Amino acid sequence: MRILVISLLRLGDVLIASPALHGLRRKYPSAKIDLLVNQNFISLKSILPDVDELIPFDRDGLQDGLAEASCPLFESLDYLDEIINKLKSNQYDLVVNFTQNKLSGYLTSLIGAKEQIGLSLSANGQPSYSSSWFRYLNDYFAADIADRFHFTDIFYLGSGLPTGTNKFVFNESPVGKAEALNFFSSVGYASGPKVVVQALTSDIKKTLSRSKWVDALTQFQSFESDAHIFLLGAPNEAAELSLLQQELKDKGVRSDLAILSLDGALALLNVSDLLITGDTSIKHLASGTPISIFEIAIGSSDYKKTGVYKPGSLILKSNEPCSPCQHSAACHRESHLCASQIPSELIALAASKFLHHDWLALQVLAEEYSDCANLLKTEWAKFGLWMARHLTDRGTQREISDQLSRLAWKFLLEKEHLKPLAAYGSESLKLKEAFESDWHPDNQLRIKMSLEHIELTTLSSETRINKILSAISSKIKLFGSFDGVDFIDSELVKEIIKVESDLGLGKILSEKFNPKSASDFYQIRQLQNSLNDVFSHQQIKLKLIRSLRSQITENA
Amino acid sequence: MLERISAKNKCAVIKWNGKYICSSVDPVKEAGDWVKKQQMRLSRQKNIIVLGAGCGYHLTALQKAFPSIKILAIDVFSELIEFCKKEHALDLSDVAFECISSIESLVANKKIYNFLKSRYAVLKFSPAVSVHAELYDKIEVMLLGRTVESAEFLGRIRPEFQPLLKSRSGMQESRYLFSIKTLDESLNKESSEDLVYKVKILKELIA
Repeated sequence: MRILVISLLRLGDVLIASPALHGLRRKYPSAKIDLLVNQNFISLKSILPDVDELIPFDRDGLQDGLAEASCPLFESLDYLDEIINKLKSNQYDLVVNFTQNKLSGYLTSLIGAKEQIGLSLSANGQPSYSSSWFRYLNDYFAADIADRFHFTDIFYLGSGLPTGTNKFVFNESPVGKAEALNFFSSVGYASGPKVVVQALTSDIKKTLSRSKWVDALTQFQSFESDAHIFLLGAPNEAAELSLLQQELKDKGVRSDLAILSLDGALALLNVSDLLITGDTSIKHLASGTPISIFEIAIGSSDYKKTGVYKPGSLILKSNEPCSPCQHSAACHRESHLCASQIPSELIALAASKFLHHDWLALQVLAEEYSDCANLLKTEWAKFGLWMARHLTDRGTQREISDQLSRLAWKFLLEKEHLKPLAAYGSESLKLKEAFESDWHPDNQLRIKMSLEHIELTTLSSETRINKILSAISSKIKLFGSFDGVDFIDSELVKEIIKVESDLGLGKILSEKFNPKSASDFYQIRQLQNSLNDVFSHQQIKLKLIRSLRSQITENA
Repeated sequence: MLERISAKNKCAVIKWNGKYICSSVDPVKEAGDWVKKQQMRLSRQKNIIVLGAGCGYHLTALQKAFPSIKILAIDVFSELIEFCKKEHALDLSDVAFECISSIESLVANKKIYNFLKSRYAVLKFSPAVSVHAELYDKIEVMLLGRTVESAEFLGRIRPEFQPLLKSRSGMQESRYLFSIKTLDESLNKESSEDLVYKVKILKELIA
């Protein structure tokens, strides 16, 4: 069997797919698995054990051929033809598209395979997904729904892989080991924890200022005087990191520059104790090592989608309401508030406590600094989804409702609710187990009341959505066609927008209608489909709540 | 009028009508520097057309750096081609030469016609093309296919791409430059599905 996985975005996006690649390898142990990546990531082959061949997509070469007037008119067409023919000649049985943009959608269709998973586009632009998870990613993520899943989970579950093997797996190459050994022999090895700091990110909005890093690391060193600080970066980051190193030295903090390749970075992470990082590809790499990972999520970092995946990791998130912001847009505030509002002593204290896995102390910190930042702990729940749980919000009504909501989406996307013996009981038991450590026996009453309240709210939402659906259906039956009829009057528009806001649905519903042309057949159908999804979601959530309540009552 | 001279580094170079057509100091270094500048682009090429045979050093440097690339050297003067063939007989044994003295002879040349049937790059060696800049410019324009006339020329050689050359917008202007946007505008129901996909993919690359 031959499988092609398409991952044509950035380095972090390729690394985040590691569990799905590992899952595919476990499901198809004798298959040849190829990975199509941008040309500059071809060296990843040495660290991806589940991939047989990395195929380069020369995006730069194709773009040059298009943009340069000194290139022949058909050069890029011919070059693309060569790339496509090579892929077609491999006669793939399965193509899995993790990229989910138009380019990859057309490519997936053009390559042609017996089976396709993920976005594929027809010649006239019609999408198909072959997986509800990828449809959810394209339709609902784009509409900014509150119930977001980690990309790793979407890639994994969207590939039809069984729950339970979501591991990041990377190979340490001989070249990487040698690089790390060289590094340690140049800096001198001594006892004491090794702390790797990835200070720079690809986006200035996600990067703490140099002065903040200097303050935080100076304070950290005062708590952990025997720690060794390694400033990790790629060769093009050496100059910037040297400045940081010099400023730290001026404050009496010793640090070493670790300018390494990705292979070398992996080897370094494998033997170090703590990584402090922004939202970078290094944190995804670190998820495949034993190192403890502390992520500082600011700017456009959306931890729900791309947070550090490894269970037992720590995420520090800004409280600023505008975070996470758009990737492509510049910061719209007068200053980079989401970074500047995070006290450097919080970073230092959190890193110190996390180094010693003192979660109780971290909980206290989270309470003390809750007005400016959130601290979250990552976990992998038995019901098959990654979670990042607020240290101050554990076992609260909001948290329980959020997790029920996400589990309900999982049911819906995997069509579990359509099975004759749907697993409401076993899944709600897993949810109960996930929260059990936070449920003090004395809190049983509070939890029951929370579930009662969540049930009432969900019931109310279900009723409201049903009313909207009935209103639209009645009009269709009454008039029999879509011409010249205002199916979504202003009152209905208001109610839809309110439901959307109350349920954290982003713009799932409102983006599907244009009040000025409400009689458009396609729009109405799209809206009905989304409303049906949301209605089913609320119904599933209700069943899960009732199952969870009965579990608690039984054990009372 | 061809004048054979010794450069400072003792290599044989040419003065054409009193003008050097490569470095009079170190033509080998000049050639090496020229190839280095093209390195990125040439690493993904299989066929190259070089405008200006000149003294031939840039051709030998190109061949050495990319031994598997097919090179076709075009010059407007047969004497220069003869010089290159004699002076670099061993190093340029795999390089094809064509003497093109007019656009008409370019369009009628079968070797060039066949060369243009697959992917190629066009390079100019500035010192060599300076002897007849205007004609070399016209040759380059024809080979690149970005104008209406040259696109039609390439369309005759590559009939599979002819459906892409029927854009409605701006075609009447002789200075109109074809781009991927133009090709996309030409796509219609008769275009093959493969071609539609490829043009759409390329359009996404510059979106």
